[in-house]
Amino acid sequence: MTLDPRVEIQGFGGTLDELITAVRRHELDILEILLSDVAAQTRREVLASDDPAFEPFMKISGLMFVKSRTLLPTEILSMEDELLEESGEIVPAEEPTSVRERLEEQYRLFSGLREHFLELADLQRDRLHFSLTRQPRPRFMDEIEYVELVTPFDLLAVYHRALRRALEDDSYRVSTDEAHLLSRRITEVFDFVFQRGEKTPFSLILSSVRRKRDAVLSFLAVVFLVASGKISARQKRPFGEIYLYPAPEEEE
Amino acid sequence: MLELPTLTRVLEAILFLSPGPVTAPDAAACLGESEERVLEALRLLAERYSDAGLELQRVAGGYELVTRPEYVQHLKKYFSTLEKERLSRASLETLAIIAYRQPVTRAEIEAIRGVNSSGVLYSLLDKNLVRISGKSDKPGKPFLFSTTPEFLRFLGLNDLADLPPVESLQRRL
Repeated sequence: MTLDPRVEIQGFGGTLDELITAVRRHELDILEILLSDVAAQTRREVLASDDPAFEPFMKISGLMFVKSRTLLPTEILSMEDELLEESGEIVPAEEPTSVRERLEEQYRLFSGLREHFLELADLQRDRLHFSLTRQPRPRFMDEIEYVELVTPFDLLAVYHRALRRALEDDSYRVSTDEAHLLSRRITEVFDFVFQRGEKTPFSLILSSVRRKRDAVLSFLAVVFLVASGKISARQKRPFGEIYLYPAPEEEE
Repeated sequence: MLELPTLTRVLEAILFLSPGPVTAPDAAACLGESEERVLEALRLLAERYSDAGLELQRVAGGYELVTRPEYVQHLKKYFSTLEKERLSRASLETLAIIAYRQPVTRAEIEAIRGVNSSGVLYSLLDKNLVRISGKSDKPGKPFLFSTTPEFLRFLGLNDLADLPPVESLQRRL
């Protein structure tokens, strides 16, 4: 059995399906629709249908009805109360809090924490000569043990930081032996792609890799070469094979 | 195996030179000692420093030699050129939200702050105070942000449980 309740609200009269379609097409502004009014009308129709299959739906919609009202700003509630008083759908007269008010309350809380954090950070800085800018830079690709602990998100964050610094500061370079390793891998990948002279699947570059560190180095080497315009990369679909071309990009 | 007094002195030297917190497991592995002996030596060291200008602070899950808070005013006079580096108010606010709501998405942070927070987030990521800790299951699979051990060190906390409970702050506010 299907049920498509009829809804009559300001500026609209039709079935619930038609209402949803109108909202999706932006023919109606969802912010202007009193959802608890819609819920109340729907409940009445479902109750009238007398079908036990709708019972769980009734309970869930009842919960949604109460929750939607508790989140509404006071001024809208007072408008709704006038509409709902006639149908006896009035919700207990607790002091309602709007979403905005709740967020503002949280904002006040975290603004207060801001001062607390400032006190702690100032004290720690003075006790320890702690400096955010003098901290040792995060090491990446420098130890096999470290790489084994790395998650894709760590890698992404480190890469993002390195890229930002490289863009902002020409003097920033990856120091120590790892720079040499990366530099060597960049050359290897570049030579490999150019010697083939045709599109090279990225998976082919990884096929000879045996260690996680080398996989990371290969990935960063490709990213570097693409970013610097020495090779180009193309991927037809998400998660599909990435093909590398000697720059400029060639059409298939 | 080192004698306990020697182990204590070695640990003191490591702590003095270390740029960050030293954890008991790391020190134990490095010195070939058991973690229990390292902890015993650290306890002795803390006792020794109980009447000194320095103290052994538990921070970010490790130990660090720091100056005593009661002498900070004198340090400020001596180190008059100390770099007055502070996070901006926006950064501290965002950091507070992440610290208490972690893991949290950027959208959730922005809902509370009411303003775009991507710049502040990049800055905090750059300073290694927050990290991307995963992806949410919500639509769009947004990144989740959490604090780092560096954040604990930044505030001088041993772990997140040392953050003041939200209820007490609400009362204070």
